[in-house]
Amino acid sequence: MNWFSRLFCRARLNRELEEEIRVHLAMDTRARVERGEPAAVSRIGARRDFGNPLLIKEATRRVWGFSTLEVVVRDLRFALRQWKRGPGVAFIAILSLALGIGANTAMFSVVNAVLLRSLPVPTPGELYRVRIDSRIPVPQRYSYPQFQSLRDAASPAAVAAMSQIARMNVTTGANAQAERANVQLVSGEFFRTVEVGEEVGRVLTEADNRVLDGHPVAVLSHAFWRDRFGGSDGVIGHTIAINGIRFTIVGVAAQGFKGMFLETPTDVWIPMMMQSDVRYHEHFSSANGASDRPWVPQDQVAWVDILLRTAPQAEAQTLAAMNAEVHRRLAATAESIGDPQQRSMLLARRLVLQPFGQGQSRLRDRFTPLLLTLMGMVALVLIIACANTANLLLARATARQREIAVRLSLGAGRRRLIQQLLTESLLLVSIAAVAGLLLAHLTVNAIVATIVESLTGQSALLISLDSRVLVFTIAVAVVSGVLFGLAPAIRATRVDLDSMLKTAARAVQGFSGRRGFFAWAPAKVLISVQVALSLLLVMGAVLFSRNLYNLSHVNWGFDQSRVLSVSIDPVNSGLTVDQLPVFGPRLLDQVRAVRGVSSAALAECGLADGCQSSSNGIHISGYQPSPGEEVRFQENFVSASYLPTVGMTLVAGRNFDRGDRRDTPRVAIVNQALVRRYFAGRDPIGQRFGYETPDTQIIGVIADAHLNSAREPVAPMAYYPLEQNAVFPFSLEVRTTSAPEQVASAVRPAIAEAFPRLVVERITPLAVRVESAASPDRIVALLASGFGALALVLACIGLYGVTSYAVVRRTSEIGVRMALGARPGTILSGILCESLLLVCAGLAIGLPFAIWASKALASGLFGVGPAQLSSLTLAAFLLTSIASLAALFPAWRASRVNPVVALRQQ
Amino acid sequence: MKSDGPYKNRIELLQGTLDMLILQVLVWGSQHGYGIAQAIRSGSGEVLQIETGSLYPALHRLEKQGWVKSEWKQTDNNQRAKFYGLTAAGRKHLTAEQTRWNQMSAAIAGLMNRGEA
Repeated sequence: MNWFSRLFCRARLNRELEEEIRVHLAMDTRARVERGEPAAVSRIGARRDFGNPLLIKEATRRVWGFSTLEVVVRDLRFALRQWKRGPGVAFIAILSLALGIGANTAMFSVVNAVLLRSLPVPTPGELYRVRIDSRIPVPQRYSYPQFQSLRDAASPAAVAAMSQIARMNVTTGANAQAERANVQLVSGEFFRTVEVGEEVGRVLTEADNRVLDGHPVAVLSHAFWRDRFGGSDGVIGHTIAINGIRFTIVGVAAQGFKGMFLETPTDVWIPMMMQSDVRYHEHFSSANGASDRPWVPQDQVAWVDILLRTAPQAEAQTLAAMNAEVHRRLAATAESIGDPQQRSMLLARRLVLQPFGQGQSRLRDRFTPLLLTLMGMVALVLIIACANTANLLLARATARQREIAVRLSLGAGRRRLIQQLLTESLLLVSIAAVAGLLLAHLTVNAIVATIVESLTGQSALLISLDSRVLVFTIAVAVVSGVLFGLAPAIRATRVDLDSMLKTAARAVQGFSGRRGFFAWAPAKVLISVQVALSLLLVMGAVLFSRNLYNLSHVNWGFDQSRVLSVSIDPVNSGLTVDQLPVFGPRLLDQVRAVRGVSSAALAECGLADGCQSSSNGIHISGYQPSPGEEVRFQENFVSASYLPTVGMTLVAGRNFDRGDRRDTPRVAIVNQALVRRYFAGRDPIGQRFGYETPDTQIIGVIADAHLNSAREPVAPMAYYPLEQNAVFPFSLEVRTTSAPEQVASAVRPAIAEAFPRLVVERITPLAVRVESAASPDRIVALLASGFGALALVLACIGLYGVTSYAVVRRTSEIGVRMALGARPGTILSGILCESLLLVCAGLAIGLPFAIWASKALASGLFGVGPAQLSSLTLAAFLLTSIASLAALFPAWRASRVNPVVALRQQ
Repeated sequence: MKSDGPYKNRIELLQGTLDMLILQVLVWGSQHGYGIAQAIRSGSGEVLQIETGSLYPALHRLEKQGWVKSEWKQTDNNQRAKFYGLTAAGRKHLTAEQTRWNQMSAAIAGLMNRGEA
């Protein structure tokens, strides 16, 4: 017999003890018989000599001891037995807790992945990105020569340059299909800076980035290698084609490293020197640079981000060295600037280091406050669930008052009883935690995938339930369990034994015997707290829903219902600049010939596509910019038929026509926002503007239209004709006579017929694109409404449960009242009034918080003023009506009490 | 029942003393409960009669401490009984207890004799 059998094989130990005692008695009896005693006497004598077997067993059992584990197991079995008798309470408790814990786990998984997780590199805290700190917003990119000088100034710290992710055509085999993959261009120091090694082969080094267009080598990501090459080592030396250029694979990056961008994992890394070969033409700003010539040697094209790795002690030194270099260069440029204010602003620019251990994330940049708000909301839901469970447990403890009193008087320790009740709570919460984890696991990926897809067009961010999330869930579960279990347990055992045992079975009062229907102060407080929190959540739901409603009813300024939007990529299809004049008209003619198409147009930037292009340094004749002001337009290059195709309205002047060609004066159409900003009071038609000289004439004004977001105000914008500018169009807009979806299938072959090698990325109706632009807001509104509804349901369950229990408890009292002449109506209204009083108390508590919360939210919401009275009223009304329904049923049941039956139940 | 005290013997023996006696009996070989009780009685010349009420708890306590180990065997009469045997640790404990007992009894004897003198 060892500790193991003492814990788990009690039955066997008891049997053995019985056997031992039996054998002892048998031996003693036989000995007596051998001594000469008669058989019957000997048996009795033996037993007398032995003593009381029961006491011996007790003493022996006490030696074995009651281990904590055995106690816990016993408590658990007891709890399960109780539940079998009354499964309703346990079921509701587990359900509400599971929903609360599940929602918290899901939300925390998202927060963990977006806000807390670092890149899988050694000491991510030492990784930084170099940013420019300037009084006016400046593009945060650098030219390659600038990078080189900063890198040399900062040595020996590791400094690297990287581009943004570009989707390029990648062909992985001789006969394989071309697919789109995420490619990033990096300098040779990149892998050394982030300290990521190779899984197979080698990673890029400085030797791979010396000669312009001279390093057709590539490093694959681990996931890409596994997917496309089956993880075979023979991939080294293999060639892949990126945008038509052959690259040799020299290595695979270490497992787990997905690049520097959270939502778009990198598939292939190539040296920066190959920029013009693969035609990387995105995310850049050019100050009189030649964007169609290689960018690497040009100082005027800013397109790279600079990464830096430095130990904390060397950080200040490295930064100072880099700033000294920047200042030296700026001083040289500042000489040529005449305006003293502009000069001082230029010289005031400094470099700062931005912690980059978490990489770049659009979700994080745009949604951090929203995520934290949702996290807060979901925590409130959990508190409501806990309050619910606490109330249920309190109510049930009342019913067990007698049993507890008896046990206490028989000598059970109070702490022992509390432990038992607490074990039951922890069992509840454990089951709920497991259910909640499952729930979270099932739902979170679906939700996040939708948000990420609307942001980036890909759904690659996978939220996994990692150990941190697990620990979080367990912590939440334990804290909740103690929270709602401890107080009722302590209260339940604080029983006045004397009065409890003396009174009759049914006539038990509340714990304190106070007057009023809800005799327990704790129950009152809990209900009020629940109602207050529910008010907050319902208010949040109302606000977010209104936000969504407002957003989706914004007039974008163009016709969404009959336009099909086609994303094309002429650059990556091998089209050259001189082919442009033929490309445009031929494509448009082919598409116009398709049945169901009424008109078609080309544009550099599509609508609701995330594309944005702007220029600054524009001089407008007759407009004097204030010192330090930057004249910046957003711009789009469109074909002549663009405005009627997308349904933008011309409010003054004329549209582009055949007369606007290469050899005719340059023209532009502007929007009302631009007119308001720069031509206040003047008629813009006929006015001129331009970069060096005002050579572009304004010929028309269109009504304001949103480009990418309904949320942001419309920026000043200028439209230029494609016929006059050598710009590649990336979007084809098609106006259809019937529903756009039906024409889509005919448009694709038409395009293929005109230009078989033209890459077509997506064909979607414009309405769908606009809708998905609001997708994050929609999901947030959905989630917030879900939480609000959940809170409402939980609060009502709580109110219903507590009222029912109170009614059951006071059945005899009600019976007496009715026997004495009270009418059912009085009883009903009395109970209802008491319940409503609690609800009103809760509303009063919650009101100031709701107002404060809506003020805090207002900054992030669109079109919703703070503390909107109507939203508040709506929320309060919703809460009160549903809560009174919840209390109505038990109250009605109370009024139907048959006094005779009730009194007899004594 | 709130009392935690051990079951009292008719002859009041310190708990440790009873343990020591049991261990001593087992030096001569493993024995079952009845046999141990008989051995103590006969070995002490019928002076010490162990209450079974304290014997079995003591045996189980000794086993929990690791000084004896138990095993179900057949007796001479082909009856299955639980035999207790001494372990090495038990042997060591017995020696220690014997030393302590000798010290104690010498000290008490010295005190009593002085008192007589």
